Amino acid sequence: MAALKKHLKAICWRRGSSELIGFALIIPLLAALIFTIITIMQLGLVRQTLEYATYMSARSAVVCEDYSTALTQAQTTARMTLANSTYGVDSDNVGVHLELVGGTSSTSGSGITWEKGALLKCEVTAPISQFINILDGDMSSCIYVMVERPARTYY
Amino acid sequence: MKTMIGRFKEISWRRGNGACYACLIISLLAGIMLVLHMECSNIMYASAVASTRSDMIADSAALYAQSYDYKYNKAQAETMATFLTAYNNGTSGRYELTSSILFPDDDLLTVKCDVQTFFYFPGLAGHETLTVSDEASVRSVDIWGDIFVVPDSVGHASSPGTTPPVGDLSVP
Repeated sequence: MAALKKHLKAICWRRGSSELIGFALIIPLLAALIFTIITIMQLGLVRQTLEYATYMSARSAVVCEDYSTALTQAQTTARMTLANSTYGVDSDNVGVHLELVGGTSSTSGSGITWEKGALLKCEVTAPISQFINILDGDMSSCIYVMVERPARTYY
Repeated sequence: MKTMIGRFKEISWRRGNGACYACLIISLLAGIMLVLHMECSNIMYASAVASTRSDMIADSAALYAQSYDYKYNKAQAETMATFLTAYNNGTSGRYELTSSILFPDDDLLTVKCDVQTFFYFPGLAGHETLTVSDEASVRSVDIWGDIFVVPDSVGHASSPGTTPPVGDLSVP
């Protein structure tokens, strides 16, 4: 204890203080930059993952025979694909929106028929837990793909 | 308090600037890393878009245009590729998608997609935009071989030479 006191007394506090103050002044800037880099890395990875999840989701939907089956299939696929990612995506609250938008399919009444040739809009929205809050709201991705089944019979 | 102010005045600022400069250099390097990472992320995203869109357009066009003789109706494939390119172009203002469809063989189609997006820091990159390309090929395979043969008398809308149906190309 006596040795420690002796060492503490020997420190030239006046000369060392400015180093400490300089470091204290710059550390918030440094920390902010590092956190921003981490968050941008996270968002970049999430954006790519979401793009592939949307693609997978749309691919699983277009082979279904009707809209309701396609929606269930698309939701399951999107959640399963995003569940494997550890980038802060809340996979339980992933939303999938499917909409027939036209293409070459026939129409029945006011709606577009779910059949081969129709174009399907698949939009996947996911809430992201960001390291620091750069992006407001959820992240979403959208893709258009052709419905593959059922095929029309011409003969 | 007086003692503290007195000590503050006595600090030798000239001698203590080393840490400050070192931290500034680290911050500058972190900033450069940030810029590089943003551009890298942008390129990876454009690559993901090009990859998924070329796969999807090729698959959809191939399925739509396949005829019973396991060849492709070129007009129908082009129609579907045009549809999907036009629609997918409207999904985001961040990139511009263009596609071209080629038929190296009667039973093979190749879709090439170009995704053009903007650099976040064009001054550093030296260009305003970057373009990422990807292509996907689909071959029509006769999985039935000689077991199942469709008679010529059976007509189908996808037989080669058939005019494709007219659809709505307006993007919502």
